[in-house]
Amino acid sequence: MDNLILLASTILVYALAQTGQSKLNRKTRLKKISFLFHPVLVSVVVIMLMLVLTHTPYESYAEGTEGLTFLLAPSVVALGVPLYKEWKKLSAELGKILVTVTFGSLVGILSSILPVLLWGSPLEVVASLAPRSVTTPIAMNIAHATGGVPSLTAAVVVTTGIFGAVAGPVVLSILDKIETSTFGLAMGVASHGIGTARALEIGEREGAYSALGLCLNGVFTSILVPVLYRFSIFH
Amino acid sequence: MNHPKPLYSSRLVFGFGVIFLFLVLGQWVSRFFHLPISGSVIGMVLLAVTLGCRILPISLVEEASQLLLQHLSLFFVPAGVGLLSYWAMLKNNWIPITLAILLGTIITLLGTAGIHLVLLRTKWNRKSNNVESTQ
Repeated sequence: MDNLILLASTILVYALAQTGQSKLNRKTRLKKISFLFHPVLVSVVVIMLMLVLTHTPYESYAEGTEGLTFLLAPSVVALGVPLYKEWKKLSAELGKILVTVTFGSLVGILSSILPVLLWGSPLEVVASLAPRSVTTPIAMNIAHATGGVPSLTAAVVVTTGIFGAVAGPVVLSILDKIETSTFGLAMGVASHGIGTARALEIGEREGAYSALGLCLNGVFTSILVPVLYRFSIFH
Repeated sequence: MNHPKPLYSSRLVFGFGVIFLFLVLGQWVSRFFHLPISGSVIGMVLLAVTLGCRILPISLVEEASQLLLQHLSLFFVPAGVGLLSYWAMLKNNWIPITLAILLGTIITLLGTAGIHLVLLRTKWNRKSNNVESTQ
């Protein structure tokens, strides 16, 4: 019974956050900072506060919102539809997309492990961070295979996704005259599913490129991280 | 995304069935070949390929797909709240981890976008060089 209240409040808080953000978007003065009020970020912070203030254990929350989490996997499958719709355009550029994602995936891995390596963090932390840019289940698999802590990886992956979804469009706006395809690929490669959800909010084509970026990055990262690991780059 | 006309058609229900079928197929493929890629990602590729081969008409899955994807962000909220339970683990190394996440994500975004922009400007495959910009 109690757990259902947690599900209801999650959906309601999210809906309110979404309405709030679109209201902000209409105010010209606040438009510049409205990206900070992304519904996922707002909902996560508000619900965390709610749980802490009401002394609700996270386990009850996870149980109550199981239904929402359950819908993640079929939603990823559903990305096959925009992928198919944009396939003509995607396949014509497939060579460039493959090179882009290979490079992006390598940049993603190296930029994750260098700060922790230089800081002198334990190697299990380094291995946990290496697959940071891919979707949670893939990242946890890789971390498990290379001596990382899968649950630490899950935490880092989710933070990366939320940060990328919130800051991605702003960071990418630095580059002038950015193409739909470039935007979508960068969002998918840097911040996986949450970034793809953000790209879909902007447009279906952005979403399709992001989905392809997410998918190919998952493949390349699962190859590259174990290879880098074997050549003892981070151990 | 434009809305399909009848919101609760039988195709919506059918579409959900098909999507879950592809999820199961993806999980089977992943397990059978011992792939590190999750079943849902394989399911996504299988669905796109099946649609591409005209084995399955798109009208069958379009509505269900739209319904799921319209609020994809919502499904990530519980995972985000889950960070609460990881705090103890992040506590010890939070400075380098935060740096890696913030800097790493910005570098990955710009690196990926940068190389793609460079590739788009080099005339590699001449035919598909149509420039299209986001508004």
